[in-house]
Amino acid sequence: MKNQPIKIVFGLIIFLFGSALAYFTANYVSASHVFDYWGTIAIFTGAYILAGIVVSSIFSVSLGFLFAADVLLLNLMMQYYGQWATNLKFLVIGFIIVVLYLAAGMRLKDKEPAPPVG
Amino acid sequence: MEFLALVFLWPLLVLTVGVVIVSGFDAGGVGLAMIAVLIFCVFLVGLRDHLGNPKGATPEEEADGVRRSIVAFSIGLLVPIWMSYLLAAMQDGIAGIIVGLLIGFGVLTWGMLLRGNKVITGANILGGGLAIVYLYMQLWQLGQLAQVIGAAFGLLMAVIISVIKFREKLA
Repeated sequence: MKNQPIKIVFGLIIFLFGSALAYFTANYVSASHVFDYWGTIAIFTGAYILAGIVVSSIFSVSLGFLFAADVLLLNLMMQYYGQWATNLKFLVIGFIIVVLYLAAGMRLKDKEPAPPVG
Repeated sequence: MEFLALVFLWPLLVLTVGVVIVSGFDAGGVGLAMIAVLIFCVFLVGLRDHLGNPKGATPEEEADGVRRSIVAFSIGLLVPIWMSYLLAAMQDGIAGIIVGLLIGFGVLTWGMLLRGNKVITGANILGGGLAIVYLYMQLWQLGQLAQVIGAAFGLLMAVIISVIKFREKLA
């Protein structure tokens, strides 16, 4: 890929600024009593996922937004996961395990080693 | 569609690792989360080239190795965590432990007998093994009858697995 290091740098910049924007905005609206902190984080998560899909043709920008969404989503999970009902956790984790098994079964089979040359 | 899948792949893999650590923290506190991180490092550094893929000589092969490590690690750690939720959902009773042991030994046996997919094999051996260890730790608190049932069940499963796995060697 051409200009690989520059693309990585720009993707990293988008990730850092995107995460910073989300947290600074959440702090500001929460301190001003305009909106809830975690609600703001949730809105930014959805917005970044959407942005990542919309600009999916530009890898570095898309991945910057999606990795920022990852960080926000995991932060939301850490905040609220303990409050979920056990049955809900059971279903969500079970679903993720099934998806992982399907991915491993369909796309990650053992590869035949390449035949020796000559 | 394939293009979108490619874009989403790495963020989803990173999210999966994060979910494992967060749910590990929820199920077992900081200790379990740290152990999860340690196991992840072992998979990434030590097992990356041993999950059914050729040793990473090109960037694509390295990336494939990392993907396989993440998937195997995630399944291996999520199975025992899911087992703890199953047990809690069944009110930590002997019925839940028996169901859990059936699933745990089933996963372990599947991993030992499966051919052609080292990712699932490794994940199942790790996940099934950890789930069984966890269930026996819970069983110990339920009294002597539960301990007898657990020991008998474990013996039965070990005999069945041994007969299936080593039958051709005896012949």
